[in-house]
Amino acid sequence: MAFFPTDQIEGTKARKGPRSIWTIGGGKGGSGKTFIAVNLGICLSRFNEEVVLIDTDLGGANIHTLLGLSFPQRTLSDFINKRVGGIRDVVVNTDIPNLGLVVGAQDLLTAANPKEPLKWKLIRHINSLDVDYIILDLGAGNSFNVLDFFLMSENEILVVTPEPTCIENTYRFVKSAFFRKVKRVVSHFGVKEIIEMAMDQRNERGIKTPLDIIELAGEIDKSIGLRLERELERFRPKLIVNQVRTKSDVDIGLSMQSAFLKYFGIALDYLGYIVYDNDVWQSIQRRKPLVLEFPQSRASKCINEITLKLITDKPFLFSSEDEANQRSDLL
Amino acid sequence: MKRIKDQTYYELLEVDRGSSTEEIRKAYRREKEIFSSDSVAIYSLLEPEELNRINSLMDGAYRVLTDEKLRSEYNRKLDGLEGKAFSGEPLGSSDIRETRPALKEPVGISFPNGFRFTGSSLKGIRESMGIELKQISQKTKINRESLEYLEEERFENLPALVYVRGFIMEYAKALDLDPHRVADSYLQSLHQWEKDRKG
Repeated sequence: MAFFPTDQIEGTKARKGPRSIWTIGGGKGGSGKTFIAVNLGICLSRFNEEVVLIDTDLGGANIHTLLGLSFPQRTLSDFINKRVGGIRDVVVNTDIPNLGLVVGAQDLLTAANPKEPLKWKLIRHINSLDVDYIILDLGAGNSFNVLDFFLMSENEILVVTPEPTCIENTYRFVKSAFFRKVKRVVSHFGVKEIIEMAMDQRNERGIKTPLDIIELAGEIDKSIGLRLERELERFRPKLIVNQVRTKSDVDIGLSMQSAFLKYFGIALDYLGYIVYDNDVWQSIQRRKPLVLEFPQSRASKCINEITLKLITDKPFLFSSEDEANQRSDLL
Repeated sequence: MKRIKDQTYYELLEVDRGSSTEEIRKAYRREKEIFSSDSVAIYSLLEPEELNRINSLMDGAYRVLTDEKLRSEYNRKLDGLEGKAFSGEPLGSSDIRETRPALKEPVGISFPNGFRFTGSSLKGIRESMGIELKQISQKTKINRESLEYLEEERFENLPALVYVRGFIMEYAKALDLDPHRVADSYLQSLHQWEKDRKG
């Protein structure tokens, strides 16, 4: 069943494209990106907003499973291979009002070298979908495919669990994302080369942070340096700490915020945390979304709160003291 | 956007210039914890020598800012540096940018244009704020039943339009939302319902 009614003429908004896109990434597999995408989507849809979830995890799409659905008849493949007219034709209904779903495009993976033009076409078409919100669930890793999808929104959301492995991947992911972002905006050959070099962790010039790049670029051409500095100021990913068990796990978000600002020059927004909750595991086992199956659970409350923060323009900096007061009842 | 080595002691400790010694002590402890060698939050981020450098910068900042004499000397030096940018005027405490503003509860949250305040979206907002209907009822002096009808959009049970407008504005105020905007948006559904009823 199609998500958009075929005779949608009356009441059609003059809008072209979604009001807002949220992209959910973070490098590490298993940190809860899909779980968070689905539950944020449901919370949003309950505000009477039209939401479309897009599963861009090309190899391992499984949003449908978390929603208790079987693999949809229509997928992005049908769009890519021109079996349907437009991307809106591959948005399928979920059982939840206002919530549509688009799944996977293995085709993008088949070529050893990802097909760039295809990816950009996809990004362009996603940007033209007439709904209120689009939530993109990204795959793991920091391949260009993942990074380009991540960067297509103004609301780039990072999911991290309080473990060294996941934190390590997050720093690497954010760094790669920034380098990818600026590489697209500069055309100076020498600066492009430096950025290219920086993508390699152990590069010979010792480039480690966005601030290093800006300094080197500024030495080549002052205006490029300033341009990159502006890009850095505008780059404000948001952070969710998932599977929080203790107060010090909550603080990891604050600490990462501080470290990102000091060392990378990136002002991260700490959106909030989701407590480790047995109900989450239960809901996944039952293939029923948490916020529907256990709306009163502590994790559901966390997700509700995060949704509300996301749809408002509120800046998300916490002070430790405020956090301390808020967190006590959930942990 | 300064590198760590170019940051002022205040920026390093993420405190503002008016901070008390106690606040600085607290901030120092927090920063030392973040940048300790076994800190999970910065895992893989820094090489050991970078970490040492940052820690000694923090130590220096702490030493200077908790010593009254050293601190005022340092402040004079900063004013000298910043004075140029501020055209020589003395820096009052209000001029000093806070590095980490503490935000209180969601006062005056702004929703994106076109956001529809319906019964169910208001209920969602209320629940996400962790506010019970009972509390709204106490605050607004509107009985709980009517509030429920508002949220469920059971218009047939609600009084005349002008009262509903008043109710919904009170409800919005209780959630720190813009009462006029909420009422305008909400009443659209009510008008639609009336139109449908009349056929």
